[in-house]
Amino acid sequence: MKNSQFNSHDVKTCCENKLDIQFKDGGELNGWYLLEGKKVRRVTVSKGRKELKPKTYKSMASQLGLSVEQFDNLLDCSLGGQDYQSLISAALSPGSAETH
Amino acid sequence: MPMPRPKTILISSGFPMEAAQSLQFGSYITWGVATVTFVHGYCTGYADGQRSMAEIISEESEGEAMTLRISRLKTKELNLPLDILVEPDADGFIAKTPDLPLYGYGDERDEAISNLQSEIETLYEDLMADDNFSEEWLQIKAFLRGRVVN
Repeated sequence: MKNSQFNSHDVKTCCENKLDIQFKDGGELNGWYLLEGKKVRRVTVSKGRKELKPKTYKSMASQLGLSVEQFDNLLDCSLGGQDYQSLISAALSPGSAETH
Repeated sequence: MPMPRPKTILISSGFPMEAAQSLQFGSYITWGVATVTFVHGYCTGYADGQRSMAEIISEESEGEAMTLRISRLKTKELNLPLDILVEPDADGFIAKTPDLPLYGYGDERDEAISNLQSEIETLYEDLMADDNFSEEWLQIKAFLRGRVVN
């Protein structure tokens, strides 16, 4: 788990740049990932550049439908937007054991 | 040999809903066979007639996870309480509910719970805005529509 290498701003920037997530400013930042025009994943990120605690990091990964390792890869650049789209498409395809 | 202590304080399924809903913060817990109620940190009952809820949490949970129920969000009410799990996350706390893919983080338990309440309400507002969601979110929308009272 690479939570100590990133902060909340890194997650926000990565979600915006790689996944085209647009965040809405509320108490926290919330954004939806759209697949084929439908909202399929929703992630919550703290404002500012806050340290990411382990369970919070896992929760963000889970919200995006990723394992912690996949989330690590998303943040450190080895998992791209197209890769993510493929993962989510597969997860949402009929017969898959979908989790949040 | 002492009994091993569970890491989670369990909710009493028999606790009267009307009583839970009458609490401002709307939370209650049980520890073993005992039930305590509280309103935003203030104990209103005693688990075993000897210890307050705060004492139970500090003595028994040893900083580990606990569960409780909320019956209101920031500005909206719930017609049935939601189970909340609060557990340490490094030097803070994270609150989650098994019913929704959300979390709230805070330096203190109350802050984590309060942030989760805000998250639930924000999600509810997002979901009520339109129907452009995947099937799983439409199910969550139906769930929240049945729980949240405007």
